[in-house]
Amino acid sequence: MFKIEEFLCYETLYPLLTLIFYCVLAGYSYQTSDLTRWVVGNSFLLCINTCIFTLGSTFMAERAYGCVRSLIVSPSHKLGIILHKGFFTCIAAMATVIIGFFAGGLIFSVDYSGINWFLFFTAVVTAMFAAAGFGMFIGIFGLITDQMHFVLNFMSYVLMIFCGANFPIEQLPPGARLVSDFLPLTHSIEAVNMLFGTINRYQFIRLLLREAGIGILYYLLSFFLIRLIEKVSVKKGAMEVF
Amino acid sequence: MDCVIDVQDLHREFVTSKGWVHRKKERVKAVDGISFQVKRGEVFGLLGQNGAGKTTTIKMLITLLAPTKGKCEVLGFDTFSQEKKIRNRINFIFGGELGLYRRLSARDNLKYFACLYHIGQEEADSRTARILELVGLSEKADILVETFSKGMIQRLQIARGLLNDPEILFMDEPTVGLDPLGARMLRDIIRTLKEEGKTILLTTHYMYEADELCDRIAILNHGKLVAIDTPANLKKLAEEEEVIEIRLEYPMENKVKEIEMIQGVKQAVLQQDEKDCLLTVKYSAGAEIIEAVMEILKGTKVHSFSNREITLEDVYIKMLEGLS
Repeated sequence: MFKIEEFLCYETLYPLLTLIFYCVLAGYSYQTSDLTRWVVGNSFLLCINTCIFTLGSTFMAERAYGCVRSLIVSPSHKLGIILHKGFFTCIAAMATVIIGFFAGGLIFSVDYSGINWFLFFTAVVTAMFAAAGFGMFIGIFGLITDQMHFVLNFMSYVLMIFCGANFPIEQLPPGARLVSDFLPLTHSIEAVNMLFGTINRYQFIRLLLREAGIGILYYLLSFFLIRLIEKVSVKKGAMEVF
Repeated sequence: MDCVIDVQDLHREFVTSKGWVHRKKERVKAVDGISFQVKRGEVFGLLGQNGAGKTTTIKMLITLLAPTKGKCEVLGFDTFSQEKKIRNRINFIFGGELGLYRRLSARDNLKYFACLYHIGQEEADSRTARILELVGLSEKADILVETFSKGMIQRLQIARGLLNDPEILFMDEPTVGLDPLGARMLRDIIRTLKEEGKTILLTTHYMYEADELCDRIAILNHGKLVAIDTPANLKKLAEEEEVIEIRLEYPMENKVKEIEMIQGVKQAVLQQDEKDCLLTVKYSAGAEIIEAVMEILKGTKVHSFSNREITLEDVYIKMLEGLS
């Protein structure tokens, strides 16, 4: 059930404070007053709360309600259940990112003049599509482990470190760059950063296609993995033992 | 009548590991080679102590848990490899307060579960209204479940279990937490479902409930099947016994021991209630013990005296005591 006060506190205020924290930190660390790239990166990272934590904890939350057995025993495709719950989550994530982008820009004086809003919104939609796929992929593991708090926190830090929101990807070691390449948000953050400089439309579209490709990869992985994981959990009796 | 549940030599082990360096595996046999069949339209009871393997058996039958070994078929399909062919045709009701979304109303809960069973919007609306009426929750349909009492939650669980109009309904202690009226209502629902031709597999700790509802009963102990028959035939196992129940005013432990010494008496048990005491004496059928018992009780105020028939509970206790 949607509650506006919950949305404002959990999906907006708390992520906004996180954005401010990382932007202030970046300002001191890099001795710069132009925090545009950190506002962009961290506003995209705000979707972690919804796409990673909310989608990722789908089965964990179902287990807490004692509903996981009803879901498993129902004839519905389990991935459909996550997607069903994830649709509104994705819309909320987009709203969070956009609010964060404008609020962060206002606080840290980001110059929006000359930005192509259509391309910006296309990048946001693509990024949320990919992030939701990633969240769904992680969420499946909730069927076989009760350590989802660890998994979700671990993954959120992986995103923070490797997606280029806080540290330039070119400064990361080669192995880490490979990780970045397969994470959601990396390419869309890079694409949106281009909007504040000279836009190479071909390069921009290529980045968004790669971002969408990453999303599709995670959806496909989830599709094939959920059947296997469901079987494993039924075999191990992991569904309700926690 | 065709067989809709076929269980043959069913086993389920749970393996847990302990330690980091020298990992030790611990195996617990929850179900240990049970076999039974349930016919279409039958109400079949599974009885047993806590940990006897009743819930594990139900979980395997509802495709939630894979057997370690043995045959486990529902409606002619294997519950582990052909579960998709079963899931739409069965449902379950587990006792307790979990299994519902507490921040949704009763109606919304049912609509959501109807959606999981691919029931169309119109059909879902009419079924939801009909089932809420059946379980007596129509007036509370739009109130959040978090405000419901235990009994109301349990009735909503029953409603959820009936949503997809299942051919087989698995009920694991469905009357837990229900007040006497709620429990009676559930028993009436089970009878109605039986009349409609539904097959029901029921576990309960209430013997009178099993006696009243079940066509056949299986008794489990430590994962093994110890008896399976109709309630009437099970009671015949204790036919050689008779029981008298005496309500008394004062506790009198020494007199109980004296009664136990009477020839023909098998057991004398004294239970203290709030008002008085209940003395239950089991004795060999035909033994003349009543005069001797009354002689011992001389001077003690007796409120009532009755000679009752053997119940399923007597058989159940006798059976489990015999095994231990």
